[in-house]
Amino acid sequence: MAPRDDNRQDRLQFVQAFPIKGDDFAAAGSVSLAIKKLLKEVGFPPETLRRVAITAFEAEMNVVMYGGGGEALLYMAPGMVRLVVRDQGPGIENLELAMQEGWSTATDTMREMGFGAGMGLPNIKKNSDRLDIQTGPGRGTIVQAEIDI
Amino acid sequence: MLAGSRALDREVTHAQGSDLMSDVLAFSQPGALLVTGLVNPQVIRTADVAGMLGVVFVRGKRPDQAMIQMAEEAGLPLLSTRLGMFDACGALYQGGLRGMTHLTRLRENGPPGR
Repeated sequence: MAPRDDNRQDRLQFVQAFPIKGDDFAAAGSVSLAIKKLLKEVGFPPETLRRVAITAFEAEMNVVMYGGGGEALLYMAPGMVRLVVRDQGPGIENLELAMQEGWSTATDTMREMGFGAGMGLPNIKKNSDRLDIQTGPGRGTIVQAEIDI
Repeated sequence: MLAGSRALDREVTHAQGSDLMSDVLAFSQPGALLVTGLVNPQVIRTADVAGMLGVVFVRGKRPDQAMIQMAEEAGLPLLSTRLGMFDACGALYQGGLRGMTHLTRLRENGPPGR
């Protein structure tokens, strides 16, 4: 890691924790929009806001749909945002498969709502600069994504 | 016109037709109209998250009051048409709107003729 990155990690400040309610589709996405609103007020540029919002939204939807509830933690450092989205759910059995576009374990109910296209994790990867996913069967899931301004 | 009439003065040049919200997020670019037959709160949130300019519901679908409220708060215009997806997209295309493929090419190569 370049020295500049290390310096930024040290200056990472915790901003806010947002609880995510499992299986609550009426509320799903509201945390991402709250995060986007907060960062907009701080003055983040539109393209960064979009990348953070999409990352947060896909991670939030995964917690709602598969994780049984969890939380999103927002951190900020100069020139960067870190999102940690975690749940104590069943975990991702095969991460490599889950990262493939189109691969999905969505139920019919989820698909009827327009989800389950299998683009969630790929969308997170596409919209973040550094991504780390800790997971395994029965171990829950932690998605850590960093987005540079 | 169902909501967000205050935001109607924005110019729209591109649109995306989809019923799959994750596809919208994967292929969207900011500044486009969403054309969809899906009616649920995530449509509004997805459009907001993706930075879209408005939502057109096809096949005569209409959002409920909760969705209209959500859209008003987000400053997102909502429109409804009795046309089906294909005809609605066709009408918009004839009106001069283009899709995401065109927008991506435009952003990569610059406007044609340059």
